[in-house]
Amino acid sequence: MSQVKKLSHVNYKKSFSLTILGIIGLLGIFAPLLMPHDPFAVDITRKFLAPSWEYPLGTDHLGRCVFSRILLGIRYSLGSALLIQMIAIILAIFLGAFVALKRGMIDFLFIRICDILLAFPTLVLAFGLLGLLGPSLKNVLIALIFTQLIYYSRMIRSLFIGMNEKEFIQAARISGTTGVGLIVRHYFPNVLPIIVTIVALDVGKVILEIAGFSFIGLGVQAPIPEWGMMVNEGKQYIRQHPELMLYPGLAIVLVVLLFNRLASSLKNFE
Amino acid sequence: MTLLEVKNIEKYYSQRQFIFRRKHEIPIIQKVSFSLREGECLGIVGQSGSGKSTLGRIILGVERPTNGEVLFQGVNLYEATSKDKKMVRRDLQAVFQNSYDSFNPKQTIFEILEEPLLNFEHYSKIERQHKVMELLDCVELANTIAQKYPAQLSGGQQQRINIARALALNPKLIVLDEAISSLDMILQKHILQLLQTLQKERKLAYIFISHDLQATHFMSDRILVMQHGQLMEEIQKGQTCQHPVSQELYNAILPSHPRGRNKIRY
Repeated sequence: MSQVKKLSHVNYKKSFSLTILGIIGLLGIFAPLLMPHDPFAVDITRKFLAPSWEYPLGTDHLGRCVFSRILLGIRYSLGSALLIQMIAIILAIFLGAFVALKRGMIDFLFIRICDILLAFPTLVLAFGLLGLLGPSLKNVLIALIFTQLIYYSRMIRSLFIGMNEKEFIQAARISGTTGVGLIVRHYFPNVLPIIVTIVALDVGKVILEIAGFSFIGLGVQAPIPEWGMMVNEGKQYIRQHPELMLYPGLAIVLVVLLFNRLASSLKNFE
Repeated sequence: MTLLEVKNIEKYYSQRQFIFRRKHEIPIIQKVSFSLREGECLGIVGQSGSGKSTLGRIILGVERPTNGEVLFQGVNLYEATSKDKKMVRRDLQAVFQNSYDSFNPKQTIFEILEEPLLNFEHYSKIERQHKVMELLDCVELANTIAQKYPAQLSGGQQQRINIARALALNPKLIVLDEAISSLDMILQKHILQLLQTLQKERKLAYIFISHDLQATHFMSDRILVMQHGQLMEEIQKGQTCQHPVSQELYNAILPSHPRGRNKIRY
């Protein structure tokens, strides 16, 4: 009985966070249709307006509609985090699988290089890359895809190697399955749940990293309404108008929390 | 005609001690040679840890021997070109002890049985379906099982699926590594009889690795007795064993009835 209760609780947790995240995703996709104002339109005469029916969350220091900016910001914050995770995990599956099947010298070199790169904290590594590439949204994506890729390909390599000794892999080899068939039919379906959980768990982390870069000024540049960027812009007016930092900050907290909840429910369910 | 020839197989596992770099080698198999004719069943018996399973894995090509060679139909397993290897793979199949572990839990029975066909035959989907049904018939399982997952089957059913998979490609030799040890007596007998009928029908050769002497006796034309990685004796069908190690093994068989105590059988 308690088992049933626990399961339904986990299911509820999962469907709740999935639903809210789905709504947020839809809002991001249809943002141009839903925005009451142009998020880039500057109108100095209307700066720092209080929330009203016309401006649901008021306006910022340049008279831009905060609500519209947050809606469009879903695309930059959530969208790019999902993009990063997706590209990183797909590349990592190819790289990890290749290394795990080849073994030998390639594997050895791969592991040493990963060890060296992982010796730096992820943020420092991404900072270094961004410093080399210069600040822009594209470069943030590249830097974060790279850091996630190292971590994921190493993880997938060890997941695959851990399965090498499983009897059903040997049975499949005896049945004549090799290379790609082995990965697609045997390795991949058995590690998929683990991969999904870890990728979902890290989306929150990546959103925070993107926002962090923008906040420092290394990431997304000025007019783009990324949430970290908006927090950064509101920083100068924290005494008079703290809500300018509060709204995008709350948006970040909400999305990250939902993703962490989703990931923990996936983990429990497995 | 000789199907399989094993020449002077040796296998060592080395333990490297880090500081002095002195290699410490543990012998698992020492100088084992034998050969197998087509359609013959060879039993290999011995205590746990005598190297029977390792020998089986070496014959299958899953593990490399330290020295020696295995010739399957005249092809050296460890120096074969990939084309030769593929041919060997087709004629040399295995049934493992742990039936559930040798299935991918995410595949249905149909997908499991389909796999060797996908790798070697150029069948259409309908032909594959027919073949899978044929295989299920062959091991006396209902067709409805095909859509189930391995976890939904009983141990005996799983083991029969394993045998069906090994039969899918019409191999010439099947290595049965403790294939029936985890089953109950009635199922054991059932599967042994099944294996014997299949052997007669298809001229299969078996290597029957087991610590169960009675089952091995039932199946085999010849029995090799192993201890500490060495061959101690070769017993032909109908002969009695001479070597003390084999005698000890045979004396360890429990009598089926209390009246039989103290009597040495065989």
